[in-house]
Amino acid sequence: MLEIKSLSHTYPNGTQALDDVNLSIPRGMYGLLGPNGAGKSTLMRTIATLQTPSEGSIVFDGLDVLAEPDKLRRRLGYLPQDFGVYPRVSAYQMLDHMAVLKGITAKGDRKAVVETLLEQTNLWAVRNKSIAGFSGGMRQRFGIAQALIGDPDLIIVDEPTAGLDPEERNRFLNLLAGIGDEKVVILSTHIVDDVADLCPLMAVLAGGRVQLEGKPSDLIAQTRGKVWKTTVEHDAVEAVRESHDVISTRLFAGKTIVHVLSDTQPAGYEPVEGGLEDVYFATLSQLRRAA
Amino acid sequence: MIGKIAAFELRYHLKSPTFWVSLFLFFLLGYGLTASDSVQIGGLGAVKENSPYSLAILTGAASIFYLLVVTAFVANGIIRDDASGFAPMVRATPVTKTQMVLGRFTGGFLVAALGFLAVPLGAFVGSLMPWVDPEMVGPQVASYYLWPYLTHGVVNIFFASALLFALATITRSMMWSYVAVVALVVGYLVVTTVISGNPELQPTYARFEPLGMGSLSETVRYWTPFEMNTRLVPLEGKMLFNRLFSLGLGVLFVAIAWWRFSMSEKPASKRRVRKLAKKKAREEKIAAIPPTLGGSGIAAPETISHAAQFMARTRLEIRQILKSPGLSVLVLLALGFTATSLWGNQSLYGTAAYPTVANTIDQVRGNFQIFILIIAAFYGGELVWRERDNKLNEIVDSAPVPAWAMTIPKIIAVFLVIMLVNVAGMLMGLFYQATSGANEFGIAQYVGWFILPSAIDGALIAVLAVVIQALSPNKYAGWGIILAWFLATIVVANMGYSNPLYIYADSPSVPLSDMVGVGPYILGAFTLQAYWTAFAVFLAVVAHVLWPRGGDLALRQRLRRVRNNGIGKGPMATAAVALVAMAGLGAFTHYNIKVLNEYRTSDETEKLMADFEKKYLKYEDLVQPIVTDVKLDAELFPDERKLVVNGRFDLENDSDQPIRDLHVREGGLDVEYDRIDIDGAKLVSNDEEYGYRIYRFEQPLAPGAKTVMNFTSRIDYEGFRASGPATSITPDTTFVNNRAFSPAIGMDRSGLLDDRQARRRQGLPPELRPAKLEDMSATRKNALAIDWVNSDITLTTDADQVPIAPGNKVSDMVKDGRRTARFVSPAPILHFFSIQSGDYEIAERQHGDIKLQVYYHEGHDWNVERMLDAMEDSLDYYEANFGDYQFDYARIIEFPRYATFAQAFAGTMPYSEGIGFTSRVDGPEDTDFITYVVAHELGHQYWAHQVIGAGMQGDALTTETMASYSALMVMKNRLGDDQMRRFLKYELDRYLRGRKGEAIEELPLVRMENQAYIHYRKGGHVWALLAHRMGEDRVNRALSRFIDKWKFKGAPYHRSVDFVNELKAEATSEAERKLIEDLLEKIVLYDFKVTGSKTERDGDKWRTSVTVEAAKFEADGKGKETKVALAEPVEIGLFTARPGFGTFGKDDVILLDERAVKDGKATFEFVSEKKPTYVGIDPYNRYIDRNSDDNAKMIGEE
Repeated sequence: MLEIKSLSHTYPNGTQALDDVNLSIPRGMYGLLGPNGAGKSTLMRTIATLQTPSEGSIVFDGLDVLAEPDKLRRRLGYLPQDFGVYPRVSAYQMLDHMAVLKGITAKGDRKAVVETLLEQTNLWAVRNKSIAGFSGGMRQRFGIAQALIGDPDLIIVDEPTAGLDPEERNRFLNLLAGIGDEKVVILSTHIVDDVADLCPLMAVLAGGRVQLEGKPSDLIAQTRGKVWKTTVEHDAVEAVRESHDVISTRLFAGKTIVHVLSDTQPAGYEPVEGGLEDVYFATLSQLRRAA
Repeated sequence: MIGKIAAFELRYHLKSPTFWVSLFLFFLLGYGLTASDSVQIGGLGAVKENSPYSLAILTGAASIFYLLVVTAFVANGIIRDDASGFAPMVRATPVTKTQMVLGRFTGGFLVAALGFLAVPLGAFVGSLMPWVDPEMVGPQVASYYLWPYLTHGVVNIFFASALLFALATITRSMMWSYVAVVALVVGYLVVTTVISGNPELQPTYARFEPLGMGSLSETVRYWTPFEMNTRLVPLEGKMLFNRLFSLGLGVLFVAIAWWRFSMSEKPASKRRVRKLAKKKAREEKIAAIPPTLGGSGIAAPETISHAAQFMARTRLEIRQILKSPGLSVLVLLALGFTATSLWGNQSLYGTAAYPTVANTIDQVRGNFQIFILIIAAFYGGELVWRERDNKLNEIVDSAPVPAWAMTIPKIIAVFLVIMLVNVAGMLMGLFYQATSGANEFGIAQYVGWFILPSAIDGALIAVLAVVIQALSPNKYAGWGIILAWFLATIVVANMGYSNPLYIYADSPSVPLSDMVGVGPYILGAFTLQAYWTAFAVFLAVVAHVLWPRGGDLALRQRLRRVRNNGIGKGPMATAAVALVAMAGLGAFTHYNIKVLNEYRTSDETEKLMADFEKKYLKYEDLVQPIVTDVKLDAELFPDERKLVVNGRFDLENDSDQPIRDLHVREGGLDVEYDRIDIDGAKLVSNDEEYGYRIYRFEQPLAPGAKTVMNFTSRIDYEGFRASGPATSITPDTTFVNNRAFSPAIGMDRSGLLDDRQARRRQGLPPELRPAKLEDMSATRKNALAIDWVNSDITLTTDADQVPIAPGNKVSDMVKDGRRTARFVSPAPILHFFSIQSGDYEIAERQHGDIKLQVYYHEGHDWNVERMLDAMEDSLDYYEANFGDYQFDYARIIEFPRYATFAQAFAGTMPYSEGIGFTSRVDGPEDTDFITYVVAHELGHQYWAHQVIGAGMQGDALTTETMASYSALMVMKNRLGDDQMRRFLKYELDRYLRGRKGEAIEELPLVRMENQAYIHYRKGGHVWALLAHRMGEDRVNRALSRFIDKWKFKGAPYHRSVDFVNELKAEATSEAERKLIEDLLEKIVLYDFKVTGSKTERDGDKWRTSVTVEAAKFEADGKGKETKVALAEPVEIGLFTARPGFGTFGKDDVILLDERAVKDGKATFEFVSEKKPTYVGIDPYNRYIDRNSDDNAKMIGEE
């Protein structure tokens, strides 16, 4: 559905945010994983017609996005990473206003859309409250509600779970899951579990390039039998780093659990049933080493 | 610890943009006040821009506006912690409350004081600018800058810091601190305006006005220019008290802040706790139900209605702006300033004014221009950046909304706010009218003259502000650009460049008058507004095309986007239509201002005048024939703004030499001549640029020979001008004087460049001084350089207007829709007169064989009866004391308020709509300046229109000085001697103020040189003293004898000494002769004051002793004073009210005795029946007194 070809972007200050990105994204939930500063938001904004790339093309369902941004905007739902609201405006008013901006100008349609979305995102009871006073979870639900106005085919959700507590995050992911398979939904995040829980397809973006692409299960399968772990004292971690290809370290009960990548089992290490997190960290660590 | 907190505060602010922006703005303020010669502190010619006096005033005035900045520094120190959420961490430290409060305060105060250094620095740099007139800059002395910085800068900032610190502590809100400070500034301005009009309160005001402006003006009130240029304002007496008072108040405010400041966070109120609990419960309930999405949503229709989006955006923008807290502050501020200017609005001589529609609207309009700009600039930035500031831009920008549906609603919202403020101003104006006795409200005029034009202006500025912000990389840069644009327009205007085709949103000014309305001037304003509106549409298209969308903020990226996506047909077409309209309107404007009319920048005008002088002033002394008879046939077409005059002058050579060449000046710039024919002479030179012709007689005109000049002239106002609208002929009123439409014979000094700086710039001597008193050759011409003529004027105008010209009206008839009247002078009149026409109401009164008339605009009848009374009183006095009045009529004619003066032509006195007709003088305490001015102008019917002196030093003695004296005598007869103090004091104060501004040299009355403060002010005042000392009858006897001798006499004209000698002939003692010399031939000043008094019962009477101090000085032309011996009879009196104030009159006088007063201290004893409450020496200010306020005091007051 969404074809991204040779997309590069360099900011006026010289930062290269995207470097020859090629992606082909079908219908359904698509996870875009990457650390902070990987270029995720630039990519999301570029797809959302908010930025003109230096080079490359984006085609959605046969539509040249860069040439006719307004046509894409009619089919787009976008929840930016960080968004604010007008002061002294209630959830209902704001959704209503956004509905007009999205083109639903008929009064009856608008009422139906706004009220349905408020119901579906469970914001009906607070519809007349100012959004500025919402908690994080409520605010993100409002965000997804506005993104869904006008039944868009392309939904871009940029870092939606950052700052939510576990319960809120869980609820929000459930909500995303309900959007359905008929639409292209791009979920950009730096949290591995978001992708693991939701996305049948994913890519890892780092340093402005696509590092890895595929089904999470396939990617996990590739690391099977290559990830090993051990538990060391905190001050021994540096020594391990020197001798092994360390993917990640994590504290547990005052000691450090170290995951390493190796084709054979190193002495004193036990095998790990590799998860998506290991895939992700392995990719990043290879990238770091290459740099 | 306090030091460390203060140091942190200092560092914090030094890094903030607020500090640097305010530094820059106040540097500009200081710079502008010295570098620009259009702004003059105190407006005194001889006081240097960088004198200690000017710098003290400048520093004090700047400190008032600095209040707004001080808030940012000190209030921030209090509010910052809570606002940033850092408070808990700060308060958890072991810093004590005292350390915190004092540290933060000290830091904020120091930053503010440091920032204020920008003012003296700016003033210093400004005074160094090469274009500043070197005569206006004195030696650069560091203490001149630093002393006022300390006494008025630092002390005021300490006071202000403490006050605002306390306010911020109490309100805990930046916004409310600002509201409070705005209210304070407005309140301060209102209170000071009120108090400065009431001299009784001055000493109190000087002591307790916390910003020290009152004590400053009190201290320097009677300083000479020399002192102002060299003396630091001393910190003593009231000034010292006042500065200590301010510091004390400051300390008090810091104490209040300390008392109210709390280190611990306030616990939430019970209500708030309940509210929070409710909110939490609600959120939990909502969270508990798992949300589900599903079902097919409603998609947008194929074609989206952009109009509906536009409407929704507009509604949202308007709602947001109306709810914004700053709006009410701005509206209140605007209303505050308007109210101050409306209620403080003064007509002539400081009297209140009746609210005419035009005047009220002018006041409102004038005050609002700057607010409109501020509002447009401020909200332009806020609105354009609102989505980005609120992080909403990504959501909104990714919606299918065209840019114009974002841009235009923002312009509309800004525009709407401007309209709201305008309407508020209009309501304030109406309220003022309703409470001040308006005859007419003029709602339609408000809409047509103010609301509509100001709406277009507002829209233009709104578009500019929005477009600049849309293109600007950030909000502050955008504001900076708008400020720069605004300053540029001021600079350009100061450079005299006024072509509105090249100054955005500029249009020719529309002067307002009840008599004419907006008149024909609206055409120019409307055309230019349409022209700029077309340009604004083009700008709006630019804003639409380059609207910042999403993350592409750099202009290069936006241009790339435009290249990629194209501009679109709609915007292209709109821009094209706008540019075509602009071109058309521009061409029409060009045709009007450059083809139909002449356009010159002020530099070009100045150069033209200078070149004229360089080329032709050499002919000034050329002997020319005089004009003896004038016959004019003037055809006025008001609707076409056209005047055609056929005229005939009879010329006669009254000299003793033959005249070969006749020099003729065409007069005004707007006149054209179809012909100027002179019998027996040929045109030999015609300088069209300067309108200067030379004719040569075939046979030189022999002494005593006569000839005739015939001419046809026309003034035809067409279209509109870039600036300086032609106001003499309008469809409703006409007021033209003969110099504008008829030729003048020979060269004289009228119409030459007179600004000293301009003259020097043009390489001319800085001033043209008149002939010396001893130069007898100057007696060939009189003060006005015009002749005595017999006149016969026929004026034809439209039938619905009244034609008026000097002379007895011998016929008046209407035929074919035209009205013709003929006026013939019964006695010689000066060849200087006006013709007027208009749709007038006429009030009439027969006074003996003289018909008195007042021609006025319908509704302006407040003072008409008073004017008729004044004419009767004046004529009675003058005929009894000076001699016969020469006409059978006297007419006062109202003319539009385009100019504000009254003028005396032969028997006809044009009097401006802006003064007199609208002055309010009917309260029991009001001073009747209307009668005073009428008496003055009628006085001129004798003094100028019967006798006129030679054009040389002292020539104003028998014109202006005597008219002033005459008016004072009329007032004395009307109100009684005891009421005279207010008039004498008025003239005295203006004389004292005037001599401070003297740039060349002060001269005694017999030698004065066109110095208004001497000929009007000192002149009338000292003649009143002469009349008091010598007796009115004796003085008037000399005057009437003088008139008899010189009445209607041509060359050689009399000199001031001839007049003084006539008076000296009446002197009967050495003391009187000495008095005449002192007052008329020298510059003498006195200083009388009461230094103590007491009164006690003595049987059934009261015994009062009064201690006085007296001194007498002689001054030279530069104001240097030398003490001289004093021995003169001076009045000392006992009163039951303060002389000259309120309703003081005869009944308040217990006793008024003339005593011999010598210089130094002396005590006088009096016995009276009644108990006195006030005592005074020279209580009516008959003498020229350096300080006239300490002459009368309450019993016991020192």
